[in-house]
Amino acid sequence: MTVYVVGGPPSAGKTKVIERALDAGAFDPPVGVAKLDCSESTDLGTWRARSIPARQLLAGALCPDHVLMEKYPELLAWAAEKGLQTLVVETAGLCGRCAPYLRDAVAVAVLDATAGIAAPRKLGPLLADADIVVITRGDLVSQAEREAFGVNLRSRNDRAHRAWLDGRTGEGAMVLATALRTAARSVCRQAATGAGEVAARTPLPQLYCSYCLGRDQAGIEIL
Amino acid sequence: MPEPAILTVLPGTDKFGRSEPFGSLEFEAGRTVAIVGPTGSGKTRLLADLERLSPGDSPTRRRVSLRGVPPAVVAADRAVARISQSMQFFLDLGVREFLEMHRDALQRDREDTDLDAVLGAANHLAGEPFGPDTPLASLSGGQARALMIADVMGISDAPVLLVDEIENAGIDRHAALDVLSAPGRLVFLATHDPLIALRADVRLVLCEGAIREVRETTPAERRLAARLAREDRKTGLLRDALRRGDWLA
Ligand SMILES: Nc1nc2c(ncn2[C@@H]2O[C@H](COP(=O)(O)OP(=O)(O)OP(=O)(O)O)[C@@H](O)[C@H]2O)c(=O)[nH]1
Ligand SMILES: [Mg+2]
Ligand SMILES: [Zn+2]
Repeated sequence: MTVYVVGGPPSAGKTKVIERALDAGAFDPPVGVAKLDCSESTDLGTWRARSIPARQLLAGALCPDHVLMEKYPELLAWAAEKGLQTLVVETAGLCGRCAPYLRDAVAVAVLDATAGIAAPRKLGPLLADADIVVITRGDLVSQAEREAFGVNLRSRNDRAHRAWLDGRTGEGAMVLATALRTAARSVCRQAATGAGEVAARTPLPQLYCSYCLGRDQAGIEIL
Repeated sequence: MPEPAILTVLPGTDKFGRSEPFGSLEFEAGRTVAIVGPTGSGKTRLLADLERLSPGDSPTRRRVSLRGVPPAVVAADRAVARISQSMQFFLDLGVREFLEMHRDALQRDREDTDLDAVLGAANHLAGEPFGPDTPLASLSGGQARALMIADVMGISDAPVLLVDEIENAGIDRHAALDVLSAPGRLVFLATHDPLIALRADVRLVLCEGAIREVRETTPAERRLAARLAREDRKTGLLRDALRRGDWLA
């Protein structure tokens, strides 16, 4: 089974990216989707309408990346039980310190070009550790802003394959599908030569501070 | 002289899977190419193939390649620039700050990049003037399109330019074509406007998803284009008179 982890800020176009990639034949069927969210999500409806097995995990007050790590074995078991060839995990990766990526899964970051040319500089490992960076809404921004966005993107991750995708029309989906398949082969090779353990690609921050644990008085020294 | 950029299109298929009727098409920098055909004939798909230098995996299966361009420009996704109707500015900057941002992002030489000239060109296209401090957000549609064209011509290094329906951009079409047809640039214009199509060096006629004809503009067509341009200018003068409240005859 091939696993793809698709992360990105809220409303960046993650669901559209997955739908377009699916329609372009990027994933070996049967495909299932798991969605991690902080509070609420309407994404499940999208997948149900396409008769695609889907599951939702709500992170609530916790960092969704932490929740993904915790629940990943459970998701794999669900995928195996459903007989899936491809599991796509749609998640957030928005805390800025962690990334939702796993060592044996293809890491896909989705960024919105209209978020501003400096947006790539504001993202941590979500961008830096991605295998593929998909940029949506490039259809809406000026050429100058596309170019400046691209420069900032490469300054944070020069290794990833960049794919500009118009989530609305699907322009760019074929190129993205090829990139996804290529990345899947190389992640597969690495997994085969590695220890084969299921682990986070980027070590998650280990500390919970007093505030994480519910204190609310301002001015507590953390470390 | 470095070798000019040359874009090659290898045939794909039309909507019904039939092969396009040509061996291969080559377009050299310095030329202007019009893309014409009815709505739904595949103009946007062709622009998408060109924009992505499609390796043959798009629905049309066309292969597009570019040579004579520094590999660094291609690797940075900067070989092809697009100016379309859906584009807006999202940055909260003044016009001059915006141009400075673009110049610095691409690490252009500050001495060699004449931002005043870019501003001048944009104003020339726009008709209604705007200044260096005008916020991007308060530009009219025509002013924004004019600035996008002048910015790409003055600062971007893309040898290939794709422009959608410039006749609907609210700018001076003739001035825009003059600015766009610069040495070293290969310009594709998707258009429904005969005036623009005839000013191009060659036009691609699309039908049912395929490039059906490739027509070099003939000398007779060029004469027709010149006549249309004169008529067009006359119409422009009448429009101005109408706005002023004059009698038209
Ligand atoms: N114009 C334009 N709209 C887009 C593009 N990509 C996505 N959209 C629109 O953006 C909206 C949000 O897209 P989604 O795919 O739901 O975003 P998401 O990241 O999955 O959102 P959450 O899961 O809620 O965080 C949708 O209405 C899409 O149609 C694009 O490239 N261009
Ligand atoms: Mg979603
Ligand atoms: Zn986190």
